[in-house]
Amino acid sequence: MRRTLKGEGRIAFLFLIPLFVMYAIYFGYSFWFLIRTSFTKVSISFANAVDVGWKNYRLLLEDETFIHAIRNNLLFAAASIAFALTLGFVIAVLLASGVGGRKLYYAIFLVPALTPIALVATVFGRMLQYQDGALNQAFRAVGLDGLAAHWLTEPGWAFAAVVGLFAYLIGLPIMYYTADLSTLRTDVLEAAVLEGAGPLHIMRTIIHPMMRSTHITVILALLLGSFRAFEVVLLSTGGGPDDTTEIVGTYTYRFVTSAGSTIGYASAASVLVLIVALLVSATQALIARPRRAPQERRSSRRTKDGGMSSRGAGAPASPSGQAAEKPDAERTSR
Amino acid sequence: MNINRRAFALLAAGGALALATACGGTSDPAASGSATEAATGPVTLNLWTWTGAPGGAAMQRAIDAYTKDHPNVTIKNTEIAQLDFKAKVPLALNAGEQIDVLAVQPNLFADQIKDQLLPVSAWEKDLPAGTMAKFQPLSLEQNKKLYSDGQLYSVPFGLSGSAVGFYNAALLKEVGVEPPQTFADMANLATVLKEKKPGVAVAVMPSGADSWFQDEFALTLVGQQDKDFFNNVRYNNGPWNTPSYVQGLTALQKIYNDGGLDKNLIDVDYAKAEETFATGKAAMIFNGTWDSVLLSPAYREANKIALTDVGALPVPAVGDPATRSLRSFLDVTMGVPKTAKYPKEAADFIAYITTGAGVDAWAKDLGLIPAVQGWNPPEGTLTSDAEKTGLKTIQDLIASPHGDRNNLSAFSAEVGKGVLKVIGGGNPTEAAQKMQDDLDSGKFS
Repeated sequence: MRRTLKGEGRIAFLFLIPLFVMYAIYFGYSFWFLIRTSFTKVSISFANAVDVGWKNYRLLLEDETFIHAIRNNLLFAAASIAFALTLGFVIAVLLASGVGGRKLYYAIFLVPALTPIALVATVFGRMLQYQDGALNQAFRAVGLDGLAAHWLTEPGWAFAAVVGLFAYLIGLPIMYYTADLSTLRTDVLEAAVLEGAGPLHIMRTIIHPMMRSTHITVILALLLGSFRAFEVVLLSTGGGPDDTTEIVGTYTYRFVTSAGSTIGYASAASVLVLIVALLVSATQALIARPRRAPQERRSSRRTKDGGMSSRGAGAPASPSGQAAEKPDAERTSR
Repeated sequence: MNINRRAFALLAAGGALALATACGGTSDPAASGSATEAATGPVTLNLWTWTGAPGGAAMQRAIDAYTKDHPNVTIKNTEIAQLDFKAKVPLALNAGEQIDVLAVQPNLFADQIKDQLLPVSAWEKDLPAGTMAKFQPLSLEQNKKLYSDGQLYSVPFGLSGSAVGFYNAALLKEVGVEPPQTFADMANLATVLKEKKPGVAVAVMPSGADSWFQDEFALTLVGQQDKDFFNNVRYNNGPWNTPSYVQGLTALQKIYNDGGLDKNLIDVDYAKAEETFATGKAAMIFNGTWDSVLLSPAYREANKIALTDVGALPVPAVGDPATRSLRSFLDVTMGVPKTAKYPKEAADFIAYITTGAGVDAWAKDLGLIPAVQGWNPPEGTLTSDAEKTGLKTIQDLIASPHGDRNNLSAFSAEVGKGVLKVIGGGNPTEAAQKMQDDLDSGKFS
């Protein structure tokens, strides 16, 4: 291990200063502006702002639609995560296992994620319309008229349609898993095969725990991404029917584009969403924090003294995945 | 470093001159009086509009016609997306950017930027004689409502209204049905279509993700029973959940249940509604008067709309056909900002495009109805009786509305969702109460 040179930290810090300054200006100013605006009643012209104290926050917290929108965000994120960790993971493993026509399948699953979401949502919305929608037309064409439904105006179906749309966009998690699978240690898998483990068993008890860091990345990306998925809802259901599929993005958008003095209110909504997103991230980070076994901690102490690290030593996989962490080089390869 | 007194004096004088020049760029020309004099050399007017006010191509025709008669004038039209316009204009004006003619959105925006506009009284003298008398009185009256101090800071350009119906005149003629006047007629039309033209819906309108139009449609029905409803809410803080509003929602629910409108089409958005009508899959479309472009054969041909004849009519009546009307309001007004370099020339151009020969150049597209009195489209713009009668109907409806279409857009979208819920079977009284609660919350104003 290379020794840290005297003063190296300060030099590194100096190199980081431009980045910090840029972040401070870009994010710091944005947050400050947003927070300051959230305490005012002002239009998009930002002229003649009137200080209203905490009124915007009080109105938001009393607004059932806003609370409902946050809950929907979390529900859509949960559905998205569930699909990614199960279906997305299985698809990635199957594709990595060398099935024929792999490139075609990759294209099928990845193209939706690479296509502008606005386009995907618009097409989905069109496909699900009652009268001329492709889905109902298909049912009618094969004599299954009874299955044609009001997908976008029946609350239950509309909610399911948005969940389906989120599920359709699992290409990114598949990409994450695919990238990580290529760095997976094959000796562990070979050992499992030699021990007589079946494919499902290997997938569930070996590969899945070994990809713990990817699961965390996927969960965090989808959870936070759900707060920015406003086109998905706006262009498919518009948040309806009757707020059933409303998310904070569509909720805030209406106030931002209003002709009234509603920018302060929209800013307050954004601040609250930011706080929720930060809380979600913090909670997730705490839960997902690597917990090292006592033996590993002892090894770490030895490492500080110049000994070898136990991490990456090919420790056998455990269901909890604690001892299945990959070497640092692998973990940072993504 | 030593700087002698002479050099210092020169530097100071230069600095003062530079400062004076810089400040001069943002000074009030009306106050100084100098800039209001006619420019003798080449003049470049900067015009700022938003998309659809009245549209880049339409405005360019008017600009070309004006500059042909005024060879020393060049006009640059900066067209900005409607949603960005409200944000960009104040920033530009605050930065002192030269804008000579500004399209002013007739909503809260107008009052918010009035301090950066020259009052019309400052440039009225530069308008050709009698210009102000040429505007429709209603348009001037609505214009005054835009500004909290009662002064005029812009003049009317175009008006629009909502809701109104457009019908496939050739189709109605083919099935032998007259344009419907009541919703009972609409239900009859639906029955005839089902028999003679299966697959063609009676009517379509923006809905689903564009639920805001449902608010417009419901307010049109309410206005048939209570003409003062919307203005009372908008200008007098009146209640929303009035018996007349609940009655309007109840009537709407019944119209759908009776087949006068098709429940299967309440999930179509704006674009799909347009497509459904344009491809002959619906006999009628309800929309704002901005859709009167459909009356123009040239527009239909250019956009490959195969409908051979289109007419327009008021939204049918729930009861007495005499109650049919709509809400209308200014859609575009024109003002002169304080940052204008050529206010005199700007005033002359504004007169040309609002009440002068320039009106025909942009208005023949029919998207906006000009605010000038007695305007008729140029010969050949409309050909059939249905088209000509349709435009006349729209002009008459806009000139005598039951209320102002001076919306609060975020609230409109929220109300639209409630209206859709009622169409789907929700309780009209409860829906109206929820709308009232939303309005009372203060978050939409």
